[in-house]
Amino acid sequence: MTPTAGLGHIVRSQHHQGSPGDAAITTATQTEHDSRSRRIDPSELLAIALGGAIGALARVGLAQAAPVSTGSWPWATFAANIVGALLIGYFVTRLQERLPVSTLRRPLLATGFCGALTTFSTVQIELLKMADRHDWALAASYLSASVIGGYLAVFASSAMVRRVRALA
Amino acid sequence: MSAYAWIAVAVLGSVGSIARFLLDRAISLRSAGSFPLGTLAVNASGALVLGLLTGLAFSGEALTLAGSATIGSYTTFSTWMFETHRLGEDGRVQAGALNVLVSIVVGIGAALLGRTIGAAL
Repeated sequence: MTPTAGLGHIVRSQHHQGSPGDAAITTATQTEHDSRSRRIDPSELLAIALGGAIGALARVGLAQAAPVSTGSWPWATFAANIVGALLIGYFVTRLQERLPVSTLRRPLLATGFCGALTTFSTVQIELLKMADRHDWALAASYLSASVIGGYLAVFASSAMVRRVRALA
Repeated sequence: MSAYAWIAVAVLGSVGSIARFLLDRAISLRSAGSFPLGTLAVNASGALVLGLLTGLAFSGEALTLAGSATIGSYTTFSTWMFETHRLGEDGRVQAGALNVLVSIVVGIGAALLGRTIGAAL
């Protein structure tokens, strides 16, 4: 994901007070395009590196602390992914729609930390191992719980940030 | 794990995250639509490489460093879910559903392909 830090938050906040409008979407897309055409900022890379290091330490630490035995639910990966989805919804919604424009918070917190805390590849390997053992029930429940849980986590944290804003 | 291994986890986590950012950016700049192709490419290529490492029988600390720390940080679940949620929110429900389905099918296929290649080497 490209760390957008343009003026999108202003448009998005109008967008969510009313019904979803095409104008808001168009403007958000244009903002994204503008930020994409920027040159890469070294401090942005540094922020991603720092966030990524902390995210990787947290995920690997969790995996070391709670090793998964064959045939059981991969709790460490699952927990990291759901928590990461909760946090990315919270961070990005807050940064886009509530806080003043900041160029480094999104690469640090979303692209770096949440991106590295969560993982896609490990899930695929865990699913392959479940399939090797013909444990289809575990594979199906793990995959669906991850996707549904991850989606609901983003939904819930985004809604929470907007609710707080609406009350303020 | 030793202190050195933890330092390596942090460094490799940075490397994986920067690689993800750069590939996603390069693909997003070249794709016309707003479908999150960049994240799909990152996750599919990461699943392929992690499958390869598994097929090559990497284990223990080597798998932790090359697999969990590097490829684990390179691929992302949170961005995938975030982009899916925002597609749905913008009324592009079909694109969101497609983003979930294609990622899963391509991801598992890539992991399986990588593992098969790794085991054959």
